[in-house]
Amino acid sequence: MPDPRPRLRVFVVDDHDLFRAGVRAAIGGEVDIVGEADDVDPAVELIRERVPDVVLLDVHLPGGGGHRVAREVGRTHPGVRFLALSVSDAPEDVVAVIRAGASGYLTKTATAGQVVEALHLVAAGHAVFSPQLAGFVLEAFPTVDVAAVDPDLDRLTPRQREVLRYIAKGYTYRETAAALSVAVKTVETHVSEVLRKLQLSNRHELTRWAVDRGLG
Amino acid sequence: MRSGTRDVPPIDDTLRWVVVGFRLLSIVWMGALVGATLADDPGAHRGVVAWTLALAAAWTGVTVAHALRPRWFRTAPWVVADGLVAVWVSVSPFLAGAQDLFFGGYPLSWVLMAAYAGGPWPALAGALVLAAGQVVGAFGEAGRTATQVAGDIGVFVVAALAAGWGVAALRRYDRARNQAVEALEAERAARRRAHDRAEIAAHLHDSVLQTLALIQQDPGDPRRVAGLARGQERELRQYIEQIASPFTHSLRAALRRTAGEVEDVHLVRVDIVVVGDCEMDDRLEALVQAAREALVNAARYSGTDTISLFGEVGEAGVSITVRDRGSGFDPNRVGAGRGIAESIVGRMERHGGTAEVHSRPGEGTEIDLHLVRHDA
Repeated sequence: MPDPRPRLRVFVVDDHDLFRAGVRAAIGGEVDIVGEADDVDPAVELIRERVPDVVLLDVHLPGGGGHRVAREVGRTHPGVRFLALSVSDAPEDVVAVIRAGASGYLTKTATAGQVVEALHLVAAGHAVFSPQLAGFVLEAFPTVDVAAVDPDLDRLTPRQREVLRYIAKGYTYRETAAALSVAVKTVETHVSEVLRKLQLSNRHELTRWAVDRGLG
Repeated sequence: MRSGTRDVPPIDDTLRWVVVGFRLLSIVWMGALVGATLADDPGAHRGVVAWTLALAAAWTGVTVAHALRPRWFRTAPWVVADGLVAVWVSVSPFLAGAQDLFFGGYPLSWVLMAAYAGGPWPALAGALVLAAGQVVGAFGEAGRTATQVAGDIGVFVVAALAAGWGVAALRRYDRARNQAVEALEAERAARRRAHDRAEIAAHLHDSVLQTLALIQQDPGDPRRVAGLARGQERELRQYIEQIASPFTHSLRAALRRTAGEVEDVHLVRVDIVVVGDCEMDDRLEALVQAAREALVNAARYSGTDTISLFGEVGEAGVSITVRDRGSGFDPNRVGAGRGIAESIVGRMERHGGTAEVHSRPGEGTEIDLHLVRHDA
């Protein structure tokens, strides 16, 4: 059955030729791959030129990490969406890419179908939270109640934390909604709100988070 | 631990307190001199002497307070202000018309202050200012002989040069020593890094390159290639985690290892997410064993090939959820959930934890394990 949705224009940024070839082969039939790049500067230039719907962005790049691509393109073309795709071994990089404006994150073990689905969600303005990303975000925000110490410090509400926990356990949005006896729309709202908090939150968390992980 | 180059060498703290200590001694000595000589000197203007003593004592208080949080000790304005008080103290006996009174200690403490702030030449300048005061003040005074004045001047000048050069030499020595310590630390760190790099290179050689060689020998068997690749991936991930983890035996690593073993034996995929981490202990070992049983049960009986494992280390406790979307079972049916009661629920309860089993036929199974932490 043909997909009724309009074909997405997708740009792929990854420094491994083999991986880009793999992506082309896996999803090229479902979406239009309008360009590829293997590093930050060429990626920024080409994305600005071709203005795709969604950029499939590797978290690790030789020239400074995927977050730089998202941040620099976002400055001139806020309409271009980013979906981060990476092997899941570096949460600090993943969170950096989300903070830079990416709308979601998938591990490279995701199937072609999952990637295409996620691309459509991201293009439609939704957040894509894989279990792995939910786990990273749970770690990124302070667990203790810090409002008393610093009222400016953004933190997750207990409800948001609960939603993320379900997603980290492998629940879909639909299953999470059923478990919490709320509408799917409500779960989507919570998830988008978490994404927004992550992108807008001040420096405090990032510092604290870096210190906690021994990066500071 | 020392880090980076400090602008103020630590020996400065010691030197500063030596100077301040000398001033405290000198103010005590000054008080004693006033008490001892003024009684036999009816011609002296007692008001001048009393006010001078009060001024010197007050300024000493300022000095001590400032020394606790030094900001201007080594600046010219501070040394000049300090000098005005010292010069006044030095010439005050002449102004008071005192016969036998001579304040040498307090002015000398200014010379030390100048030596501390700027080395021998500012100290010498200070000594010469004091000498000039003595020469001018002693004119027409019967109380001090030329020999005494010359002796005082000699003491000021010698003290200025000795203290100035001494301070400068100590600072130089201290700086050189700090640089040597830093250089040594940098070299040690470089050697450690080189060692770590060599270790990592050796490890990658022994593991990843060997596996790739094995794959190239017989690339035609996809099952074998996939198996090798998966085993190697897991091994490499564990290695990376071990390098990055602050814990010697981390819970996260233990869960990954366990999940990997179940994947290998039962040919399933375990999607694992762990939030937080902590050092393993016997109770957590039991928790990991219970999680393994839950994974094995899911792999054997659920009929699905993907299992989710979620672990969270919180302030209060550790929670693990094992979940599958497989066939599920009716927990109320006799004999249902084979092995779960003993190997999971029993094990958790023996270690002071809990296990909850949620399952319905056709809707998969979720097992929630929880253990309260004792160390937190």
